[in-house]
Amino acid sequence: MSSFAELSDAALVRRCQETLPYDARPFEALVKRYREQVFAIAYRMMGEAQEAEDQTQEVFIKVYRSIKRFRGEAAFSTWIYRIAVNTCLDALSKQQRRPQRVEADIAEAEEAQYPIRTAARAEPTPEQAALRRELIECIRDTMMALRDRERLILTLRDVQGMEYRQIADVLNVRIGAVKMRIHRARLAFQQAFARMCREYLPTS
Amino acid sequence: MAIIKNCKKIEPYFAPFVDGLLEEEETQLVQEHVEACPDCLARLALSRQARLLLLRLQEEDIVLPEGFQARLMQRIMTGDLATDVLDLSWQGLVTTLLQLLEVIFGMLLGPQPATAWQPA
Repeated sequence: MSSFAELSDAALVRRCQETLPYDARPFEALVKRYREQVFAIAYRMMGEAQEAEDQTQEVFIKVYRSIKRFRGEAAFSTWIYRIAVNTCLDALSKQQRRPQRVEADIAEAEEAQYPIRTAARAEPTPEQAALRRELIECIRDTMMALRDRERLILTLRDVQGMEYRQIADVLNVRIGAVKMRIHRARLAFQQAFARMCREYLPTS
Repeated sequence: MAIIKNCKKIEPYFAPFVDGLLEEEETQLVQEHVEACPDCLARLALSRQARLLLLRLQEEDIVLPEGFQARLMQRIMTGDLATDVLDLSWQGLVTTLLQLLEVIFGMLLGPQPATAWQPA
């Protein structure tokens, strides 16, 4: 696998096109390269780890099925993020069409099964750490209260740190539209945060 | 540059302003507008607060569930997916046959089999 890890995306895609389904190693190298980013987007969009894993698997299965037809008009990274975004939006719209599950216990159990670790920083006191966890939880809840497309653009820009140009390519819209959507989604987020997380607002 | 008085025209500059991505001249346009427009000033402040809060999510280290890749490859290799990618046109079949022969000769002659699949 080490030699595959050194190849560019384009070279790995070519290898996949030549060797699938007999030799899956170049495909595996692509999965290894993108699995974390795709899972992170899915986790932010779906809001829970099991659902995020399901959607991440769907993304890579779609990539596997269609990689032979990929002609490289866009970068492979743009293509896979586009598949990830559309897969999550589809799944969310299906969820909204079926009766909503109210299963906090299941979500809690999943959280225990798939712990989302908070990156270590300069040794906060236990109180500071607890406060930070609560704040992050509140930010996450606020994100989940937004519309899917607002959450999506904030995930791509502010959480994943994507450039405007790449967001425009992934969403297939103009860069001006990306700038507007980011600004409006941030306003929507801040209004929701003020409603849901009042205790964290600065006191005037 | 002339001052932009229309709020709708200045709005596309707000996200890159908050992100620190504007050129000096554009930054000045935004500043001049918000100095004269309290509504946009308030919106810009909200947008900046949102950005700062959202950046906190980057502190979270999202960990991919263990065994993800093995489960994925299992699904691909044991289902019908592996055959889904086969091209069944005659050109495709000829190419496939040639690739298969190459793999077989590779296995017979080379030290590393090209078909080996090991879960990551």
